Amino acid sequence: MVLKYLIRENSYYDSVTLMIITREVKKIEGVKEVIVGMGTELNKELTGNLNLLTPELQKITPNDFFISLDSVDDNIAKKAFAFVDELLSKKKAESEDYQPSTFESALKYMPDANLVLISLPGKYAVREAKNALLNDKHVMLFSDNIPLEEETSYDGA
Amino acid sequence: MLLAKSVASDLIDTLTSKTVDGIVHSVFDNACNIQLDRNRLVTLISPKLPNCPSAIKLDIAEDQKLYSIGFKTGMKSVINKDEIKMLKVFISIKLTGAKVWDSSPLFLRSKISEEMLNENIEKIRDLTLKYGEIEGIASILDGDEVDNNYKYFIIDSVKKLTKGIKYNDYKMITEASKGLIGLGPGLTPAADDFLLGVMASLYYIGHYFDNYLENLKKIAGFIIYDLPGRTTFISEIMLRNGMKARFSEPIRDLMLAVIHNTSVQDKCINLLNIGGTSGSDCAAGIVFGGALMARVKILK
Repeated sequence: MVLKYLIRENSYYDSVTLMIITREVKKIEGVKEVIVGMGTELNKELTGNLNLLTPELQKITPNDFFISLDSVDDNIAKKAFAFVDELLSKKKAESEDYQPSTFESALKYMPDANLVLISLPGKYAVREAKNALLNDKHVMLFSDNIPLEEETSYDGA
Repeated sequence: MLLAKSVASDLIDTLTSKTVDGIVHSVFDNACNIQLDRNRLVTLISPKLPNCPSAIKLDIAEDQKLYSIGFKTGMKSVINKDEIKMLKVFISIKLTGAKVWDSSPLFLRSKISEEMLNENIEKIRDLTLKYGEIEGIASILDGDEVDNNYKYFIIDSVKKLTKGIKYNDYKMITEASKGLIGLGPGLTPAADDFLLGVMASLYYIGHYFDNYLENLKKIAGFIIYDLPGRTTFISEIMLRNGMKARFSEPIRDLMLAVIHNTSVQDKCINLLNIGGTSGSDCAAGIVFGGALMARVKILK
């Protein structure tokens, strides 16, 4: 019996991800038992009933995510956790796919960018273009229905 | 600036003219939870998700992931009745002009027969076993067919809960729910989803049999009596809302379909499609609670 665990404090994963982890880890040949969940008292009790509880797992709180598994040898456990890491890292990478929703946040996110591409209806485009020009950025603008006087005003801004 | 499409009516006490601080608790593809204090939560949801208590639906594209907007765990926010601001990423969510989604229960008089009511509950059982995810608590619907650690762990508590509700034994109810709250994987552990389903049936089927709402509320109160610290924060809020008979749209729609005999199948499939096992665990609770209330009828 090789007992291994993983704890991620204050980490939350959606139930679909957890379900995939449980299913796929169970499929790995040599994994005898696995439990995935948040560190609630009952989850810890069940983990104990399955002989998967360690002193470290006993200390976790309902806000901590954990996986505990029993496998036939160390290599199987490593393989299982590598898979879990891959899955959770993929999830994290997806969550870092940040798309700023305002010009100000984009500016903060990429302060060195020198070109702003604006694709908005005319009534919003002028404000954003002015904003970009005032921040010393080049502007490429796709828009329509911009009043002539507005257009000429920011041509020279 | 982002706009809110709808705001759950139970947030009225939270979203006042007084500005309060919040912290982003967790961010998922379609939901972002903002914790205000130990007992309050505001959940921002994408239009892809159904309305639910404590939630604000954002007016964004259905396929836009919430983390792509810039929400991150631990981020500070300020909230009042007009807007939610995340200063670090210059996000402002305008709440004025948003529709109010009424999260309160809809207890309407039903004329369907008890036989039909029982058939509808059975239909949910069949659909859950056929289309649901029975890797969580929902496996208890399947007799001895499914081998599942959770099932064997909860079976005594579920039996105790049945007895407790049947004989109106508050001590037994509290002890039983202690053996369920917080069990299972997920941000809302499977057994919590199950108890939410039990409370939905307790209220809606209980009302069908003309039980006093005060009695139903008392039992729901004892189901969550030992809640603090036993489960995740998000789940705690979900169960507290359930105790007040506030349920998400799919749960409420299914309960109304059951007691008025309208499109039970469609509404049940909608519920089963929620989360990994959450919808199925909740449906199992509805079947369990529904069958129990149909037997007990009038609570002592």
